Amino acid sequence: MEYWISYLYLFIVGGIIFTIPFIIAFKKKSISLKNPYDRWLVFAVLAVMILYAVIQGVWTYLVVY
Amino acid sequence: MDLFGRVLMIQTTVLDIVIIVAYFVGILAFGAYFMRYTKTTRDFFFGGQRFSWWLIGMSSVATTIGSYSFIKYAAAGYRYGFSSSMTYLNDWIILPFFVFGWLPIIYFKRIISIPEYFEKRFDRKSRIAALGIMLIYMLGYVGINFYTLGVALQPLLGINLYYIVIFVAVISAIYMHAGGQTSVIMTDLLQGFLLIICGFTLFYLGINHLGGFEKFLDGLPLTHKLPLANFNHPPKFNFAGIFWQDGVVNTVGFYFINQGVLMRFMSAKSHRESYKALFFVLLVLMPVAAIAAANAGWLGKAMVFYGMLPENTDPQHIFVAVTNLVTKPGLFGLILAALSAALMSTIDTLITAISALFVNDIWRPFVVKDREDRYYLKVAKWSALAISAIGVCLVPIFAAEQSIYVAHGKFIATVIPSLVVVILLSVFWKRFTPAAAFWTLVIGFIATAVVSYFPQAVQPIAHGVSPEGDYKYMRALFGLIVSLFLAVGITCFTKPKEDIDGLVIDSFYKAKEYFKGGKPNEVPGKTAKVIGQLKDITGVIVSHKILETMKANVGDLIYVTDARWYFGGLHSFHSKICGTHQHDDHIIYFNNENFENANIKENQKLKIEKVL
Repeated sequence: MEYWISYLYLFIVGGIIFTIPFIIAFKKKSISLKNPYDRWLVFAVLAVMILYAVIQGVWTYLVVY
Repeated sequence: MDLFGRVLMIQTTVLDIVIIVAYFVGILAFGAYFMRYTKTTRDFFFGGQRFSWWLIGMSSVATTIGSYSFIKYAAAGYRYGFSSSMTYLNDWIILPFFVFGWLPIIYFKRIISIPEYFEKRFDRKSRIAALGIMLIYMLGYVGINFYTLGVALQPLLGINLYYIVIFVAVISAIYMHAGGQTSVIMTDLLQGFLLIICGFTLFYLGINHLGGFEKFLDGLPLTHKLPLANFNHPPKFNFAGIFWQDGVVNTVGFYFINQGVLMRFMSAKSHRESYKALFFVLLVLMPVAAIAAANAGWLGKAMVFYGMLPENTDPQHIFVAVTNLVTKPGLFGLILAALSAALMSTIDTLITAISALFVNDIWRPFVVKDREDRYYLKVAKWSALAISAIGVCLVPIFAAEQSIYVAHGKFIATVIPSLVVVILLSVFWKRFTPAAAFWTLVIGFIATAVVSYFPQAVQPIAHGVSPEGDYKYMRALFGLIVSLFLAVGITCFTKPKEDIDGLVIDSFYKAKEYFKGGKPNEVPGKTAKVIGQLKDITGVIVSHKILETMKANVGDLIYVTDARWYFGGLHSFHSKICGTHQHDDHIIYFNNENFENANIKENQKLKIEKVL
């Protein structure tokens, strides 16, 4: 478990920080999923985070096990 | 001289020295060539806002990988393994703040400098406070870059560190003086390719030297193979400290406060092109850069395990030691040239950026007001030379620290947390007041600086990190918490500014209107291929077919560029559609000034696209 603490902290605490601007931007209507360009932007930003979560998760798993 | 030093002196050949010198001369000539594209301060600082995403992205990587990166990350890679790369892979945390708030606001509001944003968003006092912190931050960056290159090259060339630093400072200053941001972008593009190619060549040669990838991995202990550092120890390199110091504070510092990076993204032909460049950097180039910068340290650890390098090799010299061991004369010189490339590409960006701050935030508003643009361009060029000299003078301060990684981290954690809090709140919290911004900048900065003398104050939030290292990284979190309390507390008792349209996320649409000078058109359209012809008009005239292809209307902002993609927008201009014609569908008309500014010829094949 000690090898996973940093990973969990990164994606839980980092994930909370990452989510704050999404909530504000949607609440203030500065982005909208109805706008095709905003939609692309939202998914691209999410994809970056998910990609890093997967890569670093698989990497840790392969090293530890 | 020790064993390490002797090995290096033996392997440095005349061919290596010739390659390094030829490289410097080549970069000088290449950078100076782009002088022709610099006619205004807008060209000097923002390269005319004309470049493609791949050019911005690639040159940003050269800026991201400073000379300190090769030395600092190779040393960290040697000591701690693959987790040395985590500082390159955690920028995603801040990405939505940048994409949904900061970048579009400064792009659309045409903010020339960050302190200028502070004056518009708050008041002049806040502008001056922000300017002071930014100057400390960026001049410090210049100093640490100069120092690192000296550390790398001194044992090889066997001459005084300061002679090396002065030589590099003079070369960088000359081509920046000539061409400004366009020179910086174009030389950084070249240097970005060079340093990535050399970084990977070194990795490939090192793996071969070790006898294959499996043997390389077998030579590393388990903790060296993990992607993230241990949570809270050792004090000099632990996950919690690096998360707050680098992942949060330094990333915001790099993307939001580093005027050089901001100017790079502002140089894109459109805001969408800036986003593309950013995703290209985060998804592709950052992981590539992490490997290029740190692999010498990983290889060095395995080489020590197999007895190829002495156990007492100094981590600060591991990059040069590994390079020296696995390369032949000539290639060794080329890799050292890549190291120099990393320095020059970071230093030129920083110096152009500080020059922008000096002209736009000190000289123009306070010293000599209301002069013609040509005058300020001259001041910008001369200030670039003066800033290079100041950077050289700062080298002894960083030379006093034993580890470059610690020196850099400590510097960042001490200087910018208050600015990070103010900048994020200013964009995302409309209620945030000018008084709160000013006092947060001042008291937050003082509190974070003073805590370095009372490190025990950081203990309650230290995440279990040992006090042995004086909480050099965790003081970043301390600075963030103190600044956040100040910002929120003072805002509750003071009055917000009213006229802030387009400067906060709430009035995003207004910023777009400001940028275009009318109602934005965001209907997705396509790029069209056209032929340009001269006409005495203001703006651009296109056919109805082209208008339909772009889904554009008369009055929309458009971008016209040379059809050859590999110019990356170097030959291009922005304008507005001022009318339509009934002639050949593929002809567009515009005036001689556009032709001259864009360096394009009549009847040349062009591409046209709608911006907004």
